[in-house]
Amino acid sequence: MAPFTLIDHTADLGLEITAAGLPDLYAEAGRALMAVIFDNDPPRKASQGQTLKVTGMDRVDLLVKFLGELLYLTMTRGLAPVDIELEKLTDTRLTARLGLARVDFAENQPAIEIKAVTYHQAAVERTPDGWRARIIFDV
Amino acid sequence: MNLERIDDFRWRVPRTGQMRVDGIVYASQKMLAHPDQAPQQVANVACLPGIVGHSLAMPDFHWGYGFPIGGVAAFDLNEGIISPGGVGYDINCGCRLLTTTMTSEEVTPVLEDLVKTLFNNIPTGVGKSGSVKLGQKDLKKVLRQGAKWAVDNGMGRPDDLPHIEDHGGLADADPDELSPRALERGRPQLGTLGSGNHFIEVGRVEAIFDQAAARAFGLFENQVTIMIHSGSRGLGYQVCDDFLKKIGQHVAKTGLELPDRQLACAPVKSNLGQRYLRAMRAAANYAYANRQVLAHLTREVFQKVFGRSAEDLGLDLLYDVCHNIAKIETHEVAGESRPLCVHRKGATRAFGPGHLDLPDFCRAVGQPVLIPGDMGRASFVLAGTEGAMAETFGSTCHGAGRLMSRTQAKKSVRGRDLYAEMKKRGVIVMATGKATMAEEVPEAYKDVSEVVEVVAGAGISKKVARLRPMGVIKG
Repeated sequence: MAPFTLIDHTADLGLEITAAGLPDLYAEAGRALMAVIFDNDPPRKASQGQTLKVTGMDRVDLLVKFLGELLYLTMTRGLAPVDIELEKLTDTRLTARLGLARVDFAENQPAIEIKAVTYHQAAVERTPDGWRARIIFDV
Repeated sequence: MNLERIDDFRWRVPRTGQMRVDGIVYASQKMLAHPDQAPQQVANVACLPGIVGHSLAMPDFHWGYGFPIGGVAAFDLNEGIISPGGVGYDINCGCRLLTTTMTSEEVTPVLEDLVKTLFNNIPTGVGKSGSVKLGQKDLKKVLRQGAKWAVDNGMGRPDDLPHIEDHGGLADADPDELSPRALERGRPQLGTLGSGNHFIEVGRVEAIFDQAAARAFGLFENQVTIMIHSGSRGLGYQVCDDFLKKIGQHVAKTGLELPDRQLACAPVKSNLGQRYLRAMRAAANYAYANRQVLAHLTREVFQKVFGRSAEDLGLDLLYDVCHNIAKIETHEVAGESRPLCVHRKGATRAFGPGHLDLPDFCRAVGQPVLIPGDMGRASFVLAGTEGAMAETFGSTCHGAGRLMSRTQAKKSVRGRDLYAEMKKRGVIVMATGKATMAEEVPEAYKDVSEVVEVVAGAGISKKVARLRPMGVIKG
């Protein structure tokens, strides 16, 4: 099964992500975000690394904030996370190791400008095969 | 969701469950054949504390996040709430319209050159910085003063300001409520268009419906106009994001039950509610300044292409409106004058004739309302009415409203040369983003003429003029 699918949303963009384990779910959500921004052709090679720590009220809040940080790095700092590995994960905290690639937007214009990661219908749920997340972006 | 017909243009969402009031959706029967989750969102907004009157949706409504796009809701200042989701991420996304002394015959021969020059001189798309270099001090002045800062720094005319909602700047805006990240995002982006559905459109007045209002607005048939649609850019998105998280934590602490997490809200009178208001106003002022700079750049392009001064070409500002905002306004409710916190999320202020907040040029006929359509069909100029004051807290629609998701739109245009199609329709388009054309294809939107017929039929706006696009630049 593909790790993510697009959800039809009239004005915005939604994703449904699946993974066997919870750390994989967060990492796949980050990769899905990059795939959407760069139209399935994200940068490949990291030129620097960074450790990212995020806290949240619950799993959903943690996911929204985590993806928000990845979005900020990409769109504002021009550093796209091409390698994402969850080192620590609880219901309210995560630590991720990121490999970042510098993006030149003049040469590599994103397919879409995602304004924000929303809480609307956001979910992190168990499934018979593992985990599923749902997230809607404001575009 | 069960909607009860009131008349040809109004439908009731009856109060059930946790709803505190009814919802009213302005729509035609035909529009309701395309249901998405918007009517449910109207019902969700009706659950919020201190809501006054009804939870409203304008006929360009569609599924948003939290509030529907096209949503209007007003709240009591003592009992009610303010919600960043009821404003949106793009705080003060809005529109302005410049008029000219030119007719389409003067512009058509150089249209391609004009569109190319606009595209080459106005920063569009993701990651583009503006030409205005702002230090921290100047950025904070922009956030306090709005469009006035741009005019004072040579980017506009003093008589632009009365032609902007709020005179181009909201009072009691506080840049110190913005996070360092919001300021970081705002500093390089002043005078940038953005992407997605933001655009600059050269058009012509195709039809006049109200001669007196058209005269007051300076419109005539076949006149060339320029519409600019943009907002507060990354700064505004960050302000909304920051406060949604703060207010979300507040909601979790208080245990307030909400049908949608994106409806996170705080009492208007609370410290947190007031802090959001002050930050939102600062972001709104940034957007007013942004559109002022974009208009200045547009005037410069026209001067260059036509070899005449901007004053000689006219290039006067008719009006500038916001369509994502929350404001403290006084409205008549059941015969009583009440100050309220009015949220417009994809809806436009439409104050009627005689309103004291309106500038002299339009007070007799009502506030100009600018309604951008899709890039293939039409845009409209409307005027506010007493009907809007009576029913919708002085509000009306903001655009066409989407029909198709972006995925559906992209699927529907596979194999088509959209640029050639638009050129055949007489519209020259230039866009930066690879997916922009597909996602913004005309059929992805409701027909704005149908949206306008509903607001006019319901008496919450009156038609003044229809504009036809000639050339468009997008991000």
